[in-house]
Amino acid sequence: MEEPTHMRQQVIRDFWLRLDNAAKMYPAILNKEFTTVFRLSAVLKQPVQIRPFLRAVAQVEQRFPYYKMRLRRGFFWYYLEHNSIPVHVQPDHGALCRGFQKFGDHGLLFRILVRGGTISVEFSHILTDGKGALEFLKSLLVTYFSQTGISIPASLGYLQPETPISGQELEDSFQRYFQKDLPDMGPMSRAFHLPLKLPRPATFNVMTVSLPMDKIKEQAGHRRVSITEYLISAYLCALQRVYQNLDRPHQRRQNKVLRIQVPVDLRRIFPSLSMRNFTLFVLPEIDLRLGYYYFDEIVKKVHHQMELEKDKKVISQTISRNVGSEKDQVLRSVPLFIKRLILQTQYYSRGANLYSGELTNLGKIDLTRPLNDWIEAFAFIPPPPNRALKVDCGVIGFRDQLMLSFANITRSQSLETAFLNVLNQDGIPFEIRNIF
Amino acid sequence: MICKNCGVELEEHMNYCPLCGHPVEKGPMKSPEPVKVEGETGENRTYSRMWQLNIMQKRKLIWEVITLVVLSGILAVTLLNFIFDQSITWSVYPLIFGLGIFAYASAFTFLYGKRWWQTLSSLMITFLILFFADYADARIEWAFDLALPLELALYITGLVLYFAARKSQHLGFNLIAYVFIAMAFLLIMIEGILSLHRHQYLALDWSLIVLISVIPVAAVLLYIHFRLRTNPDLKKFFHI
Repeated sequence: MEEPTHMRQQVIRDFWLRLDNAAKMYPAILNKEFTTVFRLSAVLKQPVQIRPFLRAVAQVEQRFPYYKMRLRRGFFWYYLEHNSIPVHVQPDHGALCRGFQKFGDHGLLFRILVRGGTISVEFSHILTDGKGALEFLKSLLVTYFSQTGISIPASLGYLQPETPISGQELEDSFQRYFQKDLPDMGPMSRAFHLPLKLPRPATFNVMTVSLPMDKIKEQAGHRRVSITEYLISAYLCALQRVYQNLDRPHQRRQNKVLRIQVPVDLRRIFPSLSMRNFTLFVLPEIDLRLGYYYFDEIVKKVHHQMELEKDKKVISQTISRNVGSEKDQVLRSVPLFIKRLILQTQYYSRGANLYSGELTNLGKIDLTRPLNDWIEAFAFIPPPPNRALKVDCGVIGFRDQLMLSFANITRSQSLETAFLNVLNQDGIPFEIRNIF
Repeated sequence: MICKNCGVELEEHMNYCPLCGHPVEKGPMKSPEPVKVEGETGENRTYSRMWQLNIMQKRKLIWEVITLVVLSGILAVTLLNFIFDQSITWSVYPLIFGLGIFAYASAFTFLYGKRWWQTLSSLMITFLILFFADYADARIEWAFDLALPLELALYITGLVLYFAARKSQHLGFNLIAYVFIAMAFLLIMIEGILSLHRHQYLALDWSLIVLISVIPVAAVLLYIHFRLRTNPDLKKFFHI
């Protein structure tokens, strides 16, 4: 995209995108409560200087035209259509992870929010995954710092507003790495779900907790596992405790398999510059029919399962299954209003019913030394969990702290309490933070 | 300077927070002066009286031509009928239809702009044409039993269609759909009227088949219209 601006705008105005393979499901299942919207926040040490910030937004939004899209309904599929209206920065006073107006004329699928020193971006999963949103936030932050006069290190890797847009950023990488004729994966048993009541009217609560990075590293390193594997183990251990605290009749009614859905950034396995969804899931589990699991046993099991499931060939098999469904001639030629029903059914039968929890770790953010000093913390709120899951967890690291956010649609905090107890018993202190 | 509402840092000259619109409290504020718009000083546009008269003149001219052609035609065929047959026989029909055309032309010329009156008068003229055509042939009577109800059915369908089209903000595939549906209902009314006339009871058959066939076609047309209204690109709308 080296051509003059007016030409570029003409091209952009007419452009539209098919939904990527992961996003195809979301418009069919989302509703007012299950919004598929997640939030990334940067807490600065100083209040945001609004004028430079608005200038930064104006620059950055030009760099990401593929996020300035609105959802449209076609005859066979949903699709994204470019929306050229300027992004409207909003004061951050409303509810967290609110849904976007589905088919409104200006219905962008992301928003930028500011309150005091906290800059947040909320993205619909229809547009991108955590990695894409994080790149956007990084660009926004660095451009903002640059506008306020802070010098930006040349070595810092981020998508600069003035750099040309690569065609690969728009690609659906699932299609690129799709292989035909791979064998189908076997069926999976239903998993345990938290036996918590869903209040009416619906509620959405977020508990944010910061943990010392060095302690976590120490405990995970001591067991020779990654931080993610360690946290998944704590999650499974917490679920096991919730299960054990149930009375006998309740225990009998519940499924005995505890399974966590863990998104894996496929860009680390398959080379891709895509800024759209390119994430799949691994599903570590423990089966309580086999007996009680001690924490170290869970850690060991999770580690090996993760190693096995992150195998490139296994991931290819999942891609093949998912994209294969999308390419199915019969399914493709079904009108959207019928396809919606099929997708909704599939979401629960092939997805939500099969796991008990979800943990997303976006990794550690590093904007290098001078910029890091201006930032106090990052936080990541995962999308509101579905009605089966009820609670999910988002993790993000920055400097010496790991920030956990539990998104919860019930009034109970039994899982969060159990999770933090597991960590505490392993010598990891925590501090409940009031960021949102 | 910090906004008391959203907590962001503002610049000194700002009276309002550009993020949340909250006013900044820094002493008495000047109320913004109303923007003075330089209005057009020219005279109001008035429609030329001549322009209107010209249209009427044109309409009257067309009416005169129609009248001349029709009346001379009537006169000619009546004379011919009389010369050849020594009485007025078959020329009654050209006479009735000729006078009908003259009445239509008069109504649409002199009731210009009065749509309801035009509609009502056309309804009456059509019925009178049919009535006299019936009257001219004494063998069977069909004007009140068939012509009037069929005509009313046609007019009602036409009016409903007209209002549906007027109500639509955009006309396209939806108009075809409305015409299809209107035709289907008109056919039902026609079959119903014919059935009542012939059998003295209501029996619907073929018109229902037409209706059932038309509904899915109209539904597809309406769907395409309302989806394509803001989606002119068929490729993206129908991508599979």
